[in-house]
Amino acid sequence: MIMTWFGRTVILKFGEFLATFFLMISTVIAAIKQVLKLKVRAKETVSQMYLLGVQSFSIILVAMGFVGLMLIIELAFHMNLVLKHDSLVPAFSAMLMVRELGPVITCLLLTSRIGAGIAAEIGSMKITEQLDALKMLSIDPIDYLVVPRWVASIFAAVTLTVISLAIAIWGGAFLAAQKLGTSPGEYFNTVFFFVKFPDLARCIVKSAVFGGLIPIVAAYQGFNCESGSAAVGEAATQAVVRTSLYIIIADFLLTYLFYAI
Amino acid sequence: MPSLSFLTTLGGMILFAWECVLLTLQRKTKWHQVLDQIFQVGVRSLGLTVVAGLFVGAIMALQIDLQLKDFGAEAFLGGLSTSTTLRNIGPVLIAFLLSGKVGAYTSAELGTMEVTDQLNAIRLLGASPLEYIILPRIWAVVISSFLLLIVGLMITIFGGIIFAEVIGVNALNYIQNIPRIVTVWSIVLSVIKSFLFGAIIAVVSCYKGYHAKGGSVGVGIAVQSCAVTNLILIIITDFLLSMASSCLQDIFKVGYL
Amino acid sequence: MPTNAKGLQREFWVGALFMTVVVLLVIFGWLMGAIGPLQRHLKIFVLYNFAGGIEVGSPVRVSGVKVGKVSKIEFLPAAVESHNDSASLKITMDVSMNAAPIVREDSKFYVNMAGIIGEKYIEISPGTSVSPTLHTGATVRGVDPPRIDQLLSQGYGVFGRITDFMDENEKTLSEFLGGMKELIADANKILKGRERQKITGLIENLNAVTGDLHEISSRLKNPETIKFYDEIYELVHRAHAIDKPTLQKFLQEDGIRARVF
Repeated sequence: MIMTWFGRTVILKFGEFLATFFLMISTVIAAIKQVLKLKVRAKETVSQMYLLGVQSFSIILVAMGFVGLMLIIELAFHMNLVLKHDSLVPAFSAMLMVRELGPVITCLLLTSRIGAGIAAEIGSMKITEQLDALKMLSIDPIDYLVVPRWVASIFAAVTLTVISLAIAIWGGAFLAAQKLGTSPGEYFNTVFFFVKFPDLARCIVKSAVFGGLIPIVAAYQGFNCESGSAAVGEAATQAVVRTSLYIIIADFLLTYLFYAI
Repeated sequence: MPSLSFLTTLGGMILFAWECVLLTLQRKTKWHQVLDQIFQVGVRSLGLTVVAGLFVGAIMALQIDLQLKDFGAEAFLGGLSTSTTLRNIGPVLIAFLLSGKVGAYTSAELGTMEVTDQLNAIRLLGASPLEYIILPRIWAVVISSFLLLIVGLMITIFGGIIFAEVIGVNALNYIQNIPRIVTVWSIVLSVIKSFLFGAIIAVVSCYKGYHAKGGSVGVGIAVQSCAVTNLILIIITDFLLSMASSCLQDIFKVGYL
Repeated sequence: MPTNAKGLQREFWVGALFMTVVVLLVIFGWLMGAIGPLQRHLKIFVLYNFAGGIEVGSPVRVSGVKVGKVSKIEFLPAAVESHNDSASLKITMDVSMNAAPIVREDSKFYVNMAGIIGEKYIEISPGTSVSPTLHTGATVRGVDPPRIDQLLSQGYGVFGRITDFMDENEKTLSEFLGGMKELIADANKILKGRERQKITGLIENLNAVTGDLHEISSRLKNPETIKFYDEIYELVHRAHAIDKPTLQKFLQEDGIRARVF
């Protein structure tokens, strides 16, 4: 009985994943079509960029500042334990930040900030039959709703990741000076000796992928929302959970692809 | 003023939590309801926790392996990646996922109850919704998040071991290296963190759901602000606990806490 | 173009976010050495015949301090003539600007092994202040590490020859050893057998002779004798002028000997 339940759950989840993937491909095609036909929905996109990017700015700034400080403390502990000196802490923390935690934590924060919102918005459009109205006007909801959010979310993810990296690294410089007695010059010398430009480029690719995942998963949950206000809450919850999980899995795959192969 | 509204929310949540603690001390908790809720929440989130734990463990093993290669110290892979995962990244990332799964679910449920006037109905019957609806849920979420976090952290160790075997590090070496770097205090710290993160998720999601306003849009807003508040508080708590641990280490000079 | 105030504000903030990120990317790129006129690393080419396990990414140390890493390893198509000998490997390494003042033309580039797991690294010995510093693009000849494999094969050769010699002269060698054995046995017999008492008597006689000699020499040392000799010495000097040969003959060969004994 457990096996059947398990098997059914796996098949259901996998079907959902495939459907989400299909929605992503249609979004990308719709976006390319928009560019080719020169019918970019600029105003809508900019307004979404403001909603998703600028309004998430302060939250992500505060959170990532703390993450940067926390990394310095924790790595100082580990380096003292293992190597008995802490001169490599700045390099190690900056590498972990740029390669891993910068994109992942920024995009997880962004997910909870905007994923639930997008799912709830599209979900309530669905249950108030606004989506059907759009289809009657022969407007493709993917073209009209998803593409601007997709572009804006990628923009927000990339910009916020780069800014949060800056915050975390400069915050780390401050804390390293206080706690480890590393002078800022020494700090930046070690950090940028180990963190190279390709790392930053990969970090940007990662954050763009994660940022692209958020509105797609949220829109999928919104499109498949059932009627009733409980269902909207459910869709919002599912959007956050699914996106977070997909981000963690995608992060593993991308890191493996970028560095281990 | 966003900062002002944040402070208002924080104050509201602290008062809310205090009220719940008082109610518990008055022995008003319905423990059979709590058990019921723990079972529901726990079973629903177990699969997610296991998958997340596996991947978090694998990600950290991969990342630490890459960095240690740069410094030529791969021998420490097992201990360092397990220790980093247990102390910090594991609790934080798994708590992020649980704040979506458990927290957002609870706040959506409570928010729906609030906006569909179910809580008002209970009030009209002369009963306290705080006592009958919120209190069991808070305790259920605290306990089940705590248990799920512990399970997830154990799974991260397995994820690391499996991944180490994949990239060609001997699993036995990896495992033998773990107790050399993971100290008892690290485990205590990660347990403390797990408990506090569970408490944060519980209080924030119940508070946000309880205070939802205005139809299905209100529920959406409650879910979103619950998720964001959870994440921010988790990150700040994590930082404060790491700082506290490091300060204790400096003050008492007790080796490596 | 009539735009409402709010719309303008949104576009302004989105633009501001974008510009912040562009500025940050330029700063990061500059710090990470991907762009910008400021060269942060000294790029040196070192020629080897044998790299001894050096890989791309192996550290470079000056006086034991890590200052850079190997960025590229190339096989030269034709062995290049440089510094009076040929080399077939070109190793490119980036050395931090901090170490630039002591990496000079007379620095030696060794391949060393150290670290927790025996990692290979390139050790640069500090140059003397008389020779000029190296600049980016300089090509130097590295000191080839000793080839353990060659040493081993030479060692095998030597042992092989010794074995051959032994095999060829096995009979002579065993005869020689047999003779030695007999000799030692005879000596042993002499020392242990009947001759032992004679040897003991001999040693006792020697002992008595040395005791007598000791007595004689101590008698010679008393102050009176010394005084007597001094007087004789004076006498001889005085008598020197009178008749040197006769006096000398008397004093040295007959007279004094007669007095003492």
